[in-house]
Amino acid sequence: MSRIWVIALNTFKEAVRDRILYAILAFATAMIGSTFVLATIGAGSGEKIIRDIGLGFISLFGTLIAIFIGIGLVYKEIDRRTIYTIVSKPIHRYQFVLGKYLGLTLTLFVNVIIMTWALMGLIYIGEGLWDFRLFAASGMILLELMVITGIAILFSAFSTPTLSAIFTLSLFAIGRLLDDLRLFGEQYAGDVGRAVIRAVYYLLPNLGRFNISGEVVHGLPLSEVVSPMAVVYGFLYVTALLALTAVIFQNKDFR
Amino acid sequence: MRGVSVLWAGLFAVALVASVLVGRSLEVRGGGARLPDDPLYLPSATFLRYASLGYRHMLADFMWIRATQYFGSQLEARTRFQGRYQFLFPMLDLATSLDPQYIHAYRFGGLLLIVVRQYENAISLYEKGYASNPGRWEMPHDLGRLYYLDLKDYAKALQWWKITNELPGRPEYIPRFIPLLYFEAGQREIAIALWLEMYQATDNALIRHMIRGRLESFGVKVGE
Repeated sequence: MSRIWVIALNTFKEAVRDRILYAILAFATAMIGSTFVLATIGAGSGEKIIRDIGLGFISLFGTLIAIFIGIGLVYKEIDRRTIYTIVSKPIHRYQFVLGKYLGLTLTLFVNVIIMTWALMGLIYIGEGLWDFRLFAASGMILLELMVITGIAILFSAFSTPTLSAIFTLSLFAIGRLLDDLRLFGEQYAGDVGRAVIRAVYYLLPNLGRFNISGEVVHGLPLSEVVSPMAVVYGFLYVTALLALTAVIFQNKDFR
Repeated sequence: MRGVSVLWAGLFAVALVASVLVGRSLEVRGGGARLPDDPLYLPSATFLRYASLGYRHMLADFMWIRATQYFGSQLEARTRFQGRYQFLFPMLDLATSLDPQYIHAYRFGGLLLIVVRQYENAISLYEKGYASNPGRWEMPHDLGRLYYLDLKDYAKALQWWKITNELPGRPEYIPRFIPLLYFEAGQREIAIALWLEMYQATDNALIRHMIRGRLESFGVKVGE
């Protein structure tokens, strides 16, 4: 465990030193700040606009961080040949994968917290209250980002960063539309098509299950909005992704 | 080396100034037959729902802001053009299709449509809002108000305010208005019976005074 933690901390430090992270974070914070302007021209729905768009930006920029740092996690080590130093040490390859993943998850956690507090601070300035319900939405956003990171690191283990970014972005888009895809299949596809779509629906990550921002903003009770099964689903999916990455990495020949 | 830098800096300045000038000339040439701020094309709600990749609430907010901006820009252009506000309802429809729980967009959007006398569209928007949020009092309330104040259809107003009256959180004045609407809708006996019932049920001196005045105007005498 301590080995995994050492790699995780190193990955975190490396990510924190990455200029792309600061660029995305600064841009995200600026965009969240800009919702204040949008709220003033929202003709009375400013409170909703700040929350909707703020949470949207947290998710959007978190996804960018997860993808653009995630795709380079393993590939960079291979490209710089630092992987030889690592695999020659008494460390299992799965520990390396887990450490890398946890390091980026820690980075994302810190970023989501910073962005959520920025949004809450903005709401406090405008409305004079701390809206702690937003943490429920951003918690689920983090869970979604963990799944996206898992996908990014999986592709990173066997593909180039450009291809990994394309694959991960595609899976992100499909994952967000899976419910609609299933509905489409049920309405228009034949028996075989329906079976294929159903298989795809269950196999691919259903990222829509983590999207509760709208419900949180509309003030629905959190007990109805946050589903423990969605949280379990997220962790199980991440486990499956990491296991697959570990298998691929274990069988990879670094000569 | 220094000369090359100066050359690039000079090119940058010239290109920047030229782009500003060209931009300004494009602004002057624009206009034509199109209304200012008229959108050329509005995508369907279904398409936007897919294209938003789950960020549909955010998109609904942008569409709502766009609708209010459009209303303002058309207001400014009123002396020059006929057939204004043709995109107002489609924009509001889009915003509320992307976020069917967007109560403010139904209510304030409905008001904008009433202001520009698009009553049918306002009714559609309110009815859509009620269908999507059957537990909310706001849309039946606004429908009742539209039928009462603008369309003078008291039977319809009564129908919607009776629905409002059953919903949680409705304004406290609704029960007081229902007898009046019965009266306006030509159902005088029911109106008087409801006022009498209300008169006997309340201890509030002001409300009793108001109801007594109303009843007396219909020739019904009530004790103190």
